[in-house]
Amino acid sequence: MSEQLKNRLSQLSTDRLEEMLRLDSLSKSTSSENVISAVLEVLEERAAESEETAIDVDAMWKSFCEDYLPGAENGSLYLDDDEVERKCGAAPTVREKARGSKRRSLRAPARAACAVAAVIALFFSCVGIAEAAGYDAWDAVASWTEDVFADGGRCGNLIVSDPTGHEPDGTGSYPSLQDALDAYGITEPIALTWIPKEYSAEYVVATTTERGVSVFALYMSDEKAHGGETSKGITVTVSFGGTASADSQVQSGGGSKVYKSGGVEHYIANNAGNLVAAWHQDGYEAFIGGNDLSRADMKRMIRSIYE
Amino acid sequence: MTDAEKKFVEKLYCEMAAKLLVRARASLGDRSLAEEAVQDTFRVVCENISTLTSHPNPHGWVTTALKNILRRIAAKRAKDMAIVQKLSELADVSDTDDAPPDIDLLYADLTENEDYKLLKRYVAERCTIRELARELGLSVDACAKRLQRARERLKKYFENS
Repeated sequence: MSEQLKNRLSQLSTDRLEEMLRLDSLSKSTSSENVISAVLEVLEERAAESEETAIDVDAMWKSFCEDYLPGAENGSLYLDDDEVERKCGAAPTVREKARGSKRRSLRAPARAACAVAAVIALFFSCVGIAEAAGYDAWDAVASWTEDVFADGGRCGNLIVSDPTGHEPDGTGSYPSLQDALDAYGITEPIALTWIPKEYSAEYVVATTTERGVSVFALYMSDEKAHGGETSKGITVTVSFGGTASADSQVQSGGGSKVYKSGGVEHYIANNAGNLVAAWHQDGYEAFIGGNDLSRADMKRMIRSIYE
Repeated sequence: MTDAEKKFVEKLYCEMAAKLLVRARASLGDRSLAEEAVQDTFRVVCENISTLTSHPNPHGWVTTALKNILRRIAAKRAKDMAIVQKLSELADVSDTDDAPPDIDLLYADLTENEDYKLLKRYVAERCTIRELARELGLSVDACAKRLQRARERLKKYFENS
């Protein structure tokens, strides 16, 4: 592992590093594993510094053996509803399992979804790294073309081409971004009501933490981004219910354009065809990203929120 | 599991538990829930032990398993929270003097409903399955099944109302 990378990550706040892990948990990609390993190491070292947060693996193992190992042959305690049904009924044979995994491996759009999610996760990782280098994260959103991604060595690989092949879980996923926001009682206009016609919703998931809720929506197209191998995708991330982080003061920087719609200022920035819009209002922060979006489509999507 | 398999699991656990816990803590925002996510991951490891012992990258396999479990927990808790919130709203309605008599009769017993209380402790108070199991004098397995039955009954209760 690069000591330089670890040193840079060490300068980030714990909240920022944990945000990177949360996004990585959503992406299912292992492509940024070197960055994630470094993040984990930094956080583990920080946890060890305090008695309150220190990790006692021996005690955990003891608890595992006493409480969780009995019945472990039944697998996860958090089975999906259909898995519960399946387990209560006849267990699938090895052959059936093999057929199932083959079917899954053929679902190319789902694999591509992983790639796009990873691109966006990496974007946030890079924002974090930019912060370590002395940039404000939001300012980095506004100026990433020149200052963040111009030097590939700073961020690692931006374009992910080797997704794991695992599908998004889909468990408990919401049918739409609006449904997810409704479920949390969010009434502000945030959800897009228009996306380019070649895209369709792939999945919407929500994660809840002490610091609030993040809703992540992914829209995919069967078309290839920039004529390459990765499918075109759009992601929308909305975070709410937490305290705005100190670095959430939007500042206009080089490379970004402010686009005002619905009385809200949206910051749009472009890097190598990956367009991102970011804005915040009282109570929430939101991002839209796409790996092959035109600026006109981005603006139309933003307008659709307020129509 | 054979002794060799148990040793394999223990070795894997000692090597990975701390980092998995850090990852789960970041995702769930709660140390106890995170620890249960790690424990659950190793239940899945035990269930798939024959695959793991011959897998070229067991660490990667376990990490992916944890990520799947984290998504599952978040989704399940969000769903459960929605059920509890909707039922709580209905229970509040039943407490008002203006509520129609039939609604009052329908939901008057809700706050005393064992399924509702269990699910509320689980999601609103962020209890782990192990904590609930200890309170109820059950194994974690039995408690997880009881939770599952409770959410099914409450869903029906809500759907039929």
